[in-house]
Amino acid sequence: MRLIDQPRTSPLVWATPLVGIILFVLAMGGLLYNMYTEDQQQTGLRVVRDAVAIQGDIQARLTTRRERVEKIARSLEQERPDYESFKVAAGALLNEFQDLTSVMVIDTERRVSYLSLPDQQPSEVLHPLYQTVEDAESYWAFNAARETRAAAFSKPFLGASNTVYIEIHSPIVHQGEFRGTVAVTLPVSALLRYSNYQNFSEVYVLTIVDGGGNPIASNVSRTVDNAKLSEEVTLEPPGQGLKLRAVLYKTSSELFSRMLAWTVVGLSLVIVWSFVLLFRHARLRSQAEKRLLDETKFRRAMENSVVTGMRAIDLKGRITYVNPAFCKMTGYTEQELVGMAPPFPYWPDQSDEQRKHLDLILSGKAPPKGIEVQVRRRNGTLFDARMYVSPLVDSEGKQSGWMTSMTDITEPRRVREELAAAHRRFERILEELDAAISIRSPEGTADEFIFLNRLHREWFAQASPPQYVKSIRNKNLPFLPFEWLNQSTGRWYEVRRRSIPWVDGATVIMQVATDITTRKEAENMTRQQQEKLQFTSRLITLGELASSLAHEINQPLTAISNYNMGSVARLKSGAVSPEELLPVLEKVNTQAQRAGDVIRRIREFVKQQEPKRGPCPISKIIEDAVGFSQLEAAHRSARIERFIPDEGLSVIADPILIEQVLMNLIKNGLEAMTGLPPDDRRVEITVEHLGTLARIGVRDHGTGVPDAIRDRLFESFFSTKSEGMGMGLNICRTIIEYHQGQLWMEPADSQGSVFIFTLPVSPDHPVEQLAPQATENS
Amino acid sequence: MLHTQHRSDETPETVYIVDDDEAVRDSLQWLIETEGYQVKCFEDPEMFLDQLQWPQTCVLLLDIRMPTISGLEVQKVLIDRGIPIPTVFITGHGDVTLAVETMKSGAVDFLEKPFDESKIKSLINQHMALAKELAESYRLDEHINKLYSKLTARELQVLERIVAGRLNKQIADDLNISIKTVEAHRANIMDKLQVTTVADLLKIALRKSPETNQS
Repeated sequence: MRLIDQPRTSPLVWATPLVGIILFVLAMGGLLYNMYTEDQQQTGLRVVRDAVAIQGDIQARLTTRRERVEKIARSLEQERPDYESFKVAAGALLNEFQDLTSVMVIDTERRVSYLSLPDQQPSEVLHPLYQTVEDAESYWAFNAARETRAAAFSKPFLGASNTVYIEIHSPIVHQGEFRGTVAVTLPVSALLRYSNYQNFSEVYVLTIVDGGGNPIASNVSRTVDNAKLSEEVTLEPPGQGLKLRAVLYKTSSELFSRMLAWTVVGLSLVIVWSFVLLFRHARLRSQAEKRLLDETKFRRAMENSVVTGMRAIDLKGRITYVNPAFCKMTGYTEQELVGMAPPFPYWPDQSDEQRKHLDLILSGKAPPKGIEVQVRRRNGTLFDARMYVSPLVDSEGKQSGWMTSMTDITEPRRVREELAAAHRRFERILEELDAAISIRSPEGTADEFIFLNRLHREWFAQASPPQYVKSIRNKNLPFLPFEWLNQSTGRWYEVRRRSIPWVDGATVIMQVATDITTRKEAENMTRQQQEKLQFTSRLITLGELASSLAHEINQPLTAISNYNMGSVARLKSGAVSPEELLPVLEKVNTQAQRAGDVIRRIREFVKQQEPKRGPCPISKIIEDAVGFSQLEAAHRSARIERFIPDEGLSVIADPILIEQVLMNLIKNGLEAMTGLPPDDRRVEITVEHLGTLARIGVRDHGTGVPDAIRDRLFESFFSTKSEGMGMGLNICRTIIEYHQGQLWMEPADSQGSVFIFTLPVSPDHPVEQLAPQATENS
Repeated sequence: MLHTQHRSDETPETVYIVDDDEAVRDSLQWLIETEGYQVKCFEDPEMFLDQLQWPQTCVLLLDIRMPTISGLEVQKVLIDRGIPIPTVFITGHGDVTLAVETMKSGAVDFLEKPFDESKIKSLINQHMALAKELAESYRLDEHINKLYSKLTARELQVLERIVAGRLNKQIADDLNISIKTVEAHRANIMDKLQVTTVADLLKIALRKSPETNQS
């Protein structure tokens, strides 16, 4: 879609219609003015014409009246005026001209000799019969008729009823002798009323004014406000300065012209208004166009900037639109692509598959996550693309095609594959490492792992190292390495933990466990040997004592026996003399002495080895003994538990010997529990304070001691163990009895047995000296 | 014939006692002398080893536990020297492992203190009989060796072939000599080995042959 730039809107575009409008209005105004002036002129002319016409009419009427009056006057110019005929003539005159109000005959004395009044209408009688006419104006007219011997018009004068009248006096001359006048009175207003131009009165206000301009009579009583034109013309016949004023107050042409004017004005207004509307519309349109242009530019910029190739196809698969990115991706120009029908040139060879894709798109069943396709560029190279499809809906809401957007996923795919390969390498390395590695989040439980390698799964399938180790549950040092024994497999592991940032940025805990069983075993062996050595060295005194005792006594006994046997044999054969026998018997005695010496020496030795008994806290003794036995316990996966209510309790004992006893008893207990599950392997050491005695119990959960052998437990050289000498419990009992205590065995409550011994409790005052008879007990 | 020859230098039957305990030594001597044996006592095993004469008919009573050299070590020295003297170990308490050790190293018996009279006497008699055989055998070997040493190289070659069962002619062919010479050698050999019959010759030669092969 190509777009033309907005046309340049010059001010003239808007000035032209404006000027046109102005010119139009001016022209219309001029025309109207012209029409108006012309009309005024015409009207003025008409008014003048009409005024002149009315003037003429009035003058003609006045002249007619004067002539009739003159005619009547002449009919009286006789010697004997026939006044009867005058009455007839006067009556006829009044009938004919109804505007006359009276016909009089005035004698020379200015008396009214004859008076004729109209029949029908009563009117004011200005000059009653037989009265002298006194009015100045009548007098002036009388005189003028008398002087001039011609009919004269009086000036208008005001009658009694406020009506202005004029009088026409015509002299009666008989043989040169003036005999009076015939006069008629005429209201001025009647001049207008009975005019022939009745229709004028609808248009004009006709007024007769005197020489001073004062209105005397008018055809309409109302005043005229909207006088347009007026014309004054002089009414000649009376010659007394009367004027006729015609004022135009109503013209039919004016209405028409006004309508025209209003029409013009109205049309002009309509035109201006429509122009304004047009202007507004144009402005809105211009704004809309501008917005559209902006939008289009924005869209075009967007379209050019996107890297996603957009392609629109109609419902038959024909390309209707491509964006620059699509052209750039495929290498074909827009002109080439638009209007193209499938198969498209950018399809790779396998057209069937492409066809299928296209059909999929056209059928509207394209998956929302897109289709992966291969695209061939113009230069023949191929690339992978992902296509997303959305229906193309036109402005009427009807689907007109499909819009597909295409992204080049070659690079992302390569990156992804590389990442995957790197991940596989990384995992492979981790999998093959000679250590168990696990990753878990710090919040998760011990079983929720983010990652596990092979060895971890193999090693810790049954049990995994504890998340927290009791002894190092220190918040400052939560990641101290520790050693852990897998109970089910019996292997030792060194477990190290570290907090590391994981690939997603979260902090995770990485655990690396290495199998240290071999090292541990070596260590254990060494330690065990050392312990054994220590243990042996502690016991060696007693063992050696026994061994040495046996040897030392055996020697003299053997010698005595030999001497004796030799002597007996000699005596039997009789081949011996008393001299020979004597020294031998003495030697026998010597040997017997020697045996006695041995016994004595042993006694002395025992005396030297007398235990150093003294007050000693029992908890300390137990602690040491347990410490020495702990290794053995760990080796046998057993626990040693202590229940010492009174830590400060002191007993009178040789701590070394009591430790020996405890170690011996613990060892026996541990050995008795070999067949139990590891959790049940417990040796419990209890201490009770019973008055002057401390009662110490060593309890195991083993199989217990069968009744058959219980009585023989403490005998010398009795052992249930293949390696045992049968001296342990015997020596223990000896030691305890030596401490003025007792050692015995009881079956435990539920299972196992408990070995109990008592020791004297130390009184508050210090070291108790040994009683001498204690030696006798041993 | 051989035996009569050895009778002349026959030594009395001796019981050697090596024990660090004087009383045990002395009392054992007192006891064993009743059986008619000559008894020689040694406190120090080294002195015993220095003074021991071989061959002779003797039995050794050896204490296992001694402060300087243990009985087992003494026995080992004897075996190394090729002296097959029958030994009875004397031990304090019957230590099984020790007993097994002594049996392995060739000792014939052991004896536990204190001793049972009949047991000790029967043991000594039994071992003395063995000692006699051993001593005689040793002496015989020594005698034969002495006779052998008189033979020349050629005579040894001839004797070898006689023992192998070859005829004089064959021997002459083998050695590239005449039959007469072979016969002369043969006469010399018989003379030197103090035998008169071929059977005696063979007896001596067969007893000698393993040693010859060894050397």
